[in-house]
Amino acid sequence: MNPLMMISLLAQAAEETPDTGGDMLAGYTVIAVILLAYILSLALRFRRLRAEQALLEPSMEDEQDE
Amino acid sequence: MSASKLKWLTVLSILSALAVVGAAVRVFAFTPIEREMGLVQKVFYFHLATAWVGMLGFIVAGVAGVMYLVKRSRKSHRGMLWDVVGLAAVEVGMVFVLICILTGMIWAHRTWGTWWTWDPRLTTAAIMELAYAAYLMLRAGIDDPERRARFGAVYAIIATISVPMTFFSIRFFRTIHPVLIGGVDPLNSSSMGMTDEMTVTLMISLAAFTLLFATLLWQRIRLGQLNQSLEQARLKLAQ
Repeated sequence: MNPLMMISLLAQAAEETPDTGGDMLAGYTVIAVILLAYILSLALRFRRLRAEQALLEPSMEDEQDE
Repeated sequence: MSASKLKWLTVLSILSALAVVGAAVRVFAFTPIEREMGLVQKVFYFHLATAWVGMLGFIVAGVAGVMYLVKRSRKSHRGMLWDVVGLAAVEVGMVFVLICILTGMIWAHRTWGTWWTWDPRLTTAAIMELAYAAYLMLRAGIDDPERRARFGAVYAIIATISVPMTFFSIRFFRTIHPVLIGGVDPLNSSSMGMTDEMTVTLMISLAAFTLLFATLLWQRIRLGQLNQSLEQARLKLAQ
């Protein structure tokens, strides 16, 4: 194929496909941020409940002894 | 939780993380760029996968609601476990539907020239998400665990109607949202045809997000069970 024709075809293809890379990046950032935030919230809630469990366990044992 | 179950959960967590990363690699490196939309079309693979698992979560919550009512009527002690499953499924489902709505808005901004339009699919998806947000808020306002579980079960069963309503909205009403399952609509300007490579990527994304959904659901159920046992302990101590 004539190199000039090839360049012209490539330029035409580049014109036809819009540059939407920024939107794609925004989309994947939203996905990553929300998923990581949810996983973090699960971890924090686990930690809080385990701390509460450690506090309540002695009281529960005392009650069982009584 | 037994040691063997914990081991399985760890394996599932690692597998789902690897599957999601693998799906992302497949999307970015091995899937062609759609000619008319460009790179933003790549958001669609995870957009559709999150829609699928989000709706799956709400269906699981509906089934858990039915199971809770059945077990409760049989006075089974496992009834409360289904309440935990229902709540976990709603919460995880809401996270995925939120991602679906936000990624859809980003895609719409580029393709339709607007972040939001009151299209039947967008409207029904928003109603579905809000219905489950109301579920969480109303549940949190009930102190008695039995009453709260009964309310949650009935609400989740009724709210399940919003899932087929959202899924079929683009088939029953005139819409600008692309119909992806069941062929390309030549009259719809945002409709897209998929090559075989794109279809494989979509299937991989669906499988990866299904695994991730199972992992998050299981983890959330564990959290719910721990919360429930502590709530019982608090009540006992208060008496």
